[in-house]
Amino acid sequence: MPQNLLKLDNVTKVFLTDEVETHALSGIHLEINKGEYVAIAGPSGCGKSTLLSILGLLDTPTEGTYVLNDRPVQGLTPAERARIRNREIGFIFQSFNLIGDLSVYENVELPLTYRGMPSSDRRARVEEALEKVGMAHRAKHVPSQLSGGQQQRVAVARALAGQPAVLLADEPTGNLDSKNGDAVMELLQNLHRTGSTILMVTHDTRFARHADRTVHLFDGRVVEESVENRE
Amino acid sequence: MLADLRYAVRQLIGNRGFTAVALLTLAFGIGINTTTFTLVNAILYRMPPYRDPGRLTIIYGTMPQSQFTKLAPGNARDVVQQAAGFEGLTPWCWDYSNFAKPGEPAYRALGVQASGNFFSTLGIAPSMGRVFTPQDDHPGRNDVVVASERFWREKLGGNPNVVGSVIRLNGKSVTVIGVVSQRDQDLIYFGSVDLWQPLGYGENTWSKRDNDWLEFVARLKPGVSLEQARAQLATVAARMAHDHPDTNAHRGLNLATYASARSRGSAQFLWTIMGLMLFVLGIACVNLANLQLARTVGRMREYAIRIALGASRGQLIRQLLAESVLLSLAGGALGLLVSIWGNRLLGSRLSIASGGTSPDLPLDYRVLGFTLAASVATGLLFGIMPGWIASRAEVGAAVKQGGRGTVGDRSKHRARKALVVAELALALASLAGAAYFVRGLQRITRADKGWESASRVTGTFMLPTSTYATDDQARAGVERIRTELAALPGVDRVAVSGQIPIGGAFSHQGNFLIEGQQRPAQGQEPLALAERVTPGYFPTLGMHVVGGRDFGEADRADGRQVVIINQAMARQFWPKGDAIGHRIGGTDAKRPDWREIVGIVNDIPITYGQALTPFQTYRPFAQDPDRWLTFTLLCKGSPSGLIGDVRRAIGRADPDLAVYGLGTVDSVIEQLGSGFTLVEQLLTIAALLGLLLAVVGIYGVIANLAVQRTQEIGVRMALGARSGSVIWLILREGVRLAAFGTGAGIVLALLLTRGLSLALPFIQGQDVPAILVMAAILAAAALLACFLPALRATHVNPVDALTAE
Repeated sequence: MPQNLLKLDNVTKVFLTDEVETHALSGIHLEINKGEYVAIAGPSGCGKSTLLSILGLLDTPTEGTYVLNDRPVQGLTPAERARIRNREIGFIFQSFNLIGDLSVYENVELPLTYRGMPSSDRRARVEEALEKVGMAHRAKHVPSQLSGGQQQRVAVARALAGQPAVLLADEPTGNLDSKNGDAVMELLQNLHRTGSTILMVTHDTRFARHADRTVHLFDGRVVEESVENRE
Repeated sequence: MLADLRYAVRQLIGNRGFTAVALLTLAFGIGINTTTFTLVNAILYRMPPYRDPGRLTIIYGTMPQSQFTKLAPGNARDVVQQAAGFEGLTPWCWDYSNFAKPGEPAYRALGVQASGNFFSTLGIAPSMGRVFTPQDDHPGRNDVVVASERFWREKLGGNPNVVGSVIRLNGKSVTVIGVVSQRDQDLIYFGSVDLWQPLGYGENTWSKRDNDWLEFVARLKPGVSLEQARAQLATVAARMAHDHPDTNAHRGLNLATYASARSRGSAQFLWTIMGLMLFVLGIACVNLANLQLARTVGRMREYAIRIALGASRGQLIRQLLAESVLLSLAGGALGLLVSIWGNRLLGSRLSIASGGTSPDLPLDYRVLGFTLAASVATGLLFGIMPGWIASRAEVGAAVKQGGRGTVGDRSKHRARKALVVAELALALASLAGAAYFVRGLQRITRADKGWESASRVTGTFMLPTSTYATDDQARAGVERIRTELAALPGVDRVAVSGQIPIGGAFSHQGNFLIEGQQRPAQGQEPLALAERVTPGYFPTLGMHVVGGRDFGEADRADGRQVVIINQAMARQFWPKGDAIGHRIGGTDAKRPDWREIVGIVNDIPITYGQALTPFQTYRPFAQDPDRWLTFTLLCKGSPSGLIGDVRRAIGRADPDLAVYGLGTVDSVIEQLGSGFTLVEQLLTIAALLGLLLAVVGIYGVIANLAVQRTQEIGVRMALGARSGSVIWLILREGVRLAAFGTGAGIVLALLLTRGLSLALPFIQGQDVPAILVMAAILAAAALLACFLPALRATHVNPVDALTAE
């Protein structure tokens, strides 16, 4: 029996700007099981990033409930949310979002330092993560010395180092050429094969096919769910 | 934490421009405060170099007009014999001695005459020989002297065999019995004393109760509290008042710790200066907060990423604070270097003790603690707001592709603008505070003194009792001096008096009675300041005899006893204008010393210190000779060329007489006011530094806003906006900030100067015109600072601006 990891129930997100209400998400129901690889697809402005922000505890829903690892999280304090984000969620951004002043090693180490992990444990985790993405030999470099593909691999390593329950990837190939994009997708595929739960936002149906299941969003609503048949 | 510090170091090294500006700002802001605190510490907190200084106290006499008078010898002896809570009770007094060596001009040595237990009360051991003891403190046995290390080096040639040698003091031979090291002297309280001698008073002197000249230092017995000792002194005072009602009714005794007596009169002044200096540090803080905020806004994306990765708000604030505190600690270290330089400058310019010696201004643990605390507090203050803003980075938008990390920038701009307004307000308050001091002190020094100082030369001397034992000898000596000085070419008039009334100083004060009027209750008699003067004193000092006559040569010792009073006294007691011919006298029923009022002169305003009484009297020197004297010469031409001639003339009158403080009266006034001048300069430098920081602050904000509006300016220019309208677009913001800052500053300055006038009563009133002038200067400087980025904005290329990200 697949074990439920994330569950959104009737989630709505409304933005209020200058007395104008914008419904970014309306009545979203979504369940993701452990070990599952889910793509969220849809055109620009359909609410993909808002959904990802809510799932990543970077934002809160206006209405509805969100249960992560059997724990309702919509009412948590900012400090508790930061703690869960740090321990249970790994982010991979479209624009990599590495910190330019830190070396590759330090970028990967960063979420572990916020966790208060001892230095020796951090070293083991960082080295393992960098090995996984094939960037161990670039540990001392700074991001500006790396190609886009390499930077994204470092960002993946940073997301992996904390051994999160789920990896949230926001258009992870959006800033990459097709060769590097394919390499990153293959990396995610490999991670999925080793048991990682991945939720990826993409507008590229070609990449969505890498996932087990694709949730289609349009105007803030789930309009379709498709399961990839790999037979 | 270590990672935060490592990252902070990297950030600061990577931003050399910011780091350099911040370090410079901090170095001067903290440095100038450290220097000021060093002075505060030296005067208020540094313990004197005596054994167990916490038990040292000062005993004062009290009278209705003052809680801090000296004691008459008879009263001092009563205290010594009756106050049981002390293990050392030592009356002492200042004593200026003429030290003469053959072939050299006489030197006026600053001396202390004290009871034989002086050194044991203070706990001072000699570095050479011995100190005097109670056995030396008897008439005929007190011809011994202890020299200071400085006197020994400079005047006795550093002779290692000085102990036992004989020197000439006031024409008498005295034996040097020991030398006291310079480090065992408390310059703050005693000044740089050259010589210590035993009092050596006989019964005749010890029985006097009508003249207060003895100071009193005492050491509490272990376990005796200040309150217990005060209670004992109250009993002693009550007994004295009962036994000697003529002299001691309504008089009492007051006890203060040595430490508080040491800082009496200066604590409030010093803390006020310190407070004004902290304004500069406040401005530096706001300025740095503004710079840091600008950097924070530029790094919002980084903070958003950190938040996304699980950094808590506290962790982000801690990271920013690590950076700002690290920076401020480095700035504080540089500030210490600045303060070492500042202390040298201050030490070379400052003379706070008698003897003209600068106090030691060490960077001790208190100063280092202050610098550390100021550094950490500065770092926390300027780091907290940027840290708070960073911790509120809006993650969702910032981490998106193309996000510039500028979400919510309006609120950050508001914060920066608020900081600039605060900075301008603080700068104006600082300027107004400095202006308040400078103009207030100028008002004091330029106010009508009641006499003239220009074209006048002065010098002080003492007629030693060894040579001038009798009043006739003193009169003859002064006559010789007057004759020699009057004969000098270029001298128009000569006068000798106890002292010249700089700041309203008089040599004596005493209660008086009016003949024929009902005697007030004992102790309630009116008080008058008094001076002994030779004929010609009033015209020599440019004073005006407004009624009756001046003293003349006919007012001799054996003539009618006369007195001249001031207008305030005449108005108060003879409102009908008939003071001339009335007689006033002392309160001692046995020796009333009635004197006829023969003249009325203008008032001398009291400008230094608090005026005990508005009444002033003058009596002929010939009828009541002093031994501590000052001559004044009114010169026909330039007075400065006369100095050498004057010294030779005094030498002709008496080769053993040392002249001290010889110079033009204006230079003496300037020297006395040099402490104030130094304060004025310090405050002016601090205020200008504050102005500079505030102007740089507003420039930074407006320049930054202009850069952020580049695209908007490009659009406006593409749509046909002219240079003038673009300049106004940017300048408008500056005008608004300057107006808010100046307005808030005026309110703050009014509050501050009101506080200053309460804290420093010798500078009266609020100086609104000065505040308005300073506000205009600040506003003009702020607008000038805004004009530069506004002008630069007109050079924006619309095409570049519109295509730029």
